[in-house]
Amino acid sequence: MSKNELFDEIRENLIEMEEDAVIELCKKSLEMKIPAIETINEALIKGMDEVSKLYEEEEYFLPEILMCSDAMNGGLDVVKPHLNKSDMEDPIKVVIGVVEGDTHDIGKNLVKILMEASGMEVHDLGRDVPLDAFVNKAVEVSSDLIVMSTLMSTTMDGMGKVISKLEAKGIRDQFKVFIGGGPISQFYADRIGADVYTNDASDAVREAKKMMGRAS
Amino acid sequence: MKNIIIPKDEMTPLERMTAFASGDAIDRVPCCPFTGESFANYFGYGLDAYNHSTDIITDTIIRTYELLRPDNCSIGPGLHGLPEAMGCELQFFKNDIPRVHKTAIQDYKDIDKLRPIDPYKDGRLNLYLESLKIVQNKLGKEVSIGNTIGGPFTTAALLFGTEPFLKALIKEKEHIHKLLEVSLQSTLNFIDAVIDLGIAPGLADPIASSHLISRKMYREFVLPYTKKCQDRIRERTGSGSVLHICGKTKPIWSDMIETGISGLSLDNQDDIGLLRKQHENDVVVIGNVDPVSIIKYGAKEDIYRGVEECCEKALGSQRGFVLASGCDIPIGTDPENVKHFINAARIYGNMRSNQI
Repeated sequence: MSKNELFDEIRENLIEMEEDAVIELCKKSLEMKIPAIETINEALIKGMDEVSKLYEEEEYFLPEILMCSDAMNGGLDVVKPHLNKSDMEDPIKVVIGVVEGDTHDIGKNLVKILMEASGMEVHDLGRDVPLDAFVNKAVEVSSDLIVMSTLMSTTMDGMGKVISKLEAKGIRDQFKVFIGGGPISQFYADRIGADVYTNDASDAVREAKKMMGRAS
Repeated sequence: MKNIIIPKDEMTPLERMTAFASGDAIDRVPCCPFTGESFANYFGYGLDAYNHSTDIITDTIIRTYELLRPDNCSIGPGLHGLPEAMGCELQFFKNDIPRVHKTAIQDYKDIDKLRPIDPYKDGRLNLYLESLKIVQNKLGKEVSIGNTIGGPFTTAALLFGTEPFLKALIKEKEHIHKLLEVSLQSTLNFIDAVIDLGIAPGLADPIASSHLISRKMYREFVLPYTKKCQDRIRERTGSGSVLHICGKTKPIWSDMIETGISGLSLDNQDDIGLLRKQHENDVVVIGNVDPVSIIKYGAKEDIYRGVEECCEKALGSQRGFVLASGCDIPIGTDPENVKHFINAARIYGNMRSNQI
């Protein structure tokens, strides 16, 4: 099997949600001495790109994306330990989480999956995240973006509080603040002074790249 | 804003709803903001206390009615009542609705251990049945009393955890159908208990939203089970009931209708004008003013405009139109804003034949 054939198979199996096959093929890539970075960029990330397209075309929905993401992560676990340090370029850095009081993390996970799939470095704080943790983590990793999600109207005001905390520390300008979730709208983003509201995960990825001046 | 004269109601909420249901003339559009427990905090109760006391539930519901005079009062165990009664552990909060702390099952092999609920014994379900009974006695001559419970799909998702559940839809279909079957039996048992009180239960099925699953999956995993609920409701009450699914639902409107519902309650993320255009002969159109941007955060003018737009699109719909919020009224909303919402219905939803 040539390298290109192998990559084709990895992409196809990833799109078909065959996690075990992706893992086996990634092991094979190591046996064939293919550099890990190539397998990641050309097979795994390109495969997830296709998945994002299928999502935008409303061919794939959450169940499919979650399965594809498992397949991608299965493959990544195999090849990542073989990456060289010099392989890492300077990715867009993201701190993401569901605001305090809310444990609905499916929307956040979807954004995280698609951001990672497009090569961003995502620091996931999880769900029910204390508001200070967004600020502290963003400072700690010199994040480019702070991405906050909530499904609950009872917890959405936490997003505005995070922005106030950034302002109080005089570091609001260092980060682009993205918000999303069921009760959120452009109206609400304007109200609390967030930079970007998107109503879907692939839009969030597109806007992130646009804001950071990266080609999509 | 100019002073607009608010027309006086000529019917009680119950007279209006009864006439509406039989297709007779009404004074104005029926108006149902989804309040439920929204104002428990406002009346000085923690929601954790609300969720454990018949007295607090009934006091909150009755005072909400007296304050706002909406066209229905709904009491329900919410989305978490059935999963809890089947084994989920919940966490309760003073200022928020409960959440699942531990799912009822962690593995497919545990599905066989699940049993359909006994509505009078399991979890906190009987609290709500008792509350329905009390409120029906106290307000039933003035306003129609309703109930909403989670549909089998959402119940099943909460029993197993939403993310593992969604993944299993792809490769573990047999297990999923088994889980849906036992969830359905629980839903039917609760439906029967509510109908025994002379009340028609509505269904809410947020996990079936088109944000989350495809139309194909809706038809395979949701439609058949919702249909069995609607069949039961129709068999016992003579008509189907209302179904609410959060977020986008446009791809599945015809499927929702195929389950036999009488009313489709639309989230504010879809266009109610389009629903009316496509399905005004099939169902009562219910919706869909944005509960957050407009009802909670809007000024009086915004609320009036929101209601005016909604009425322009849906008033006169063939099978009828009920003005409602697109989803639950957020906890913490000023009741004055809900009064504006209902006053706007009196103005823009005027249906008197001799209009001024």
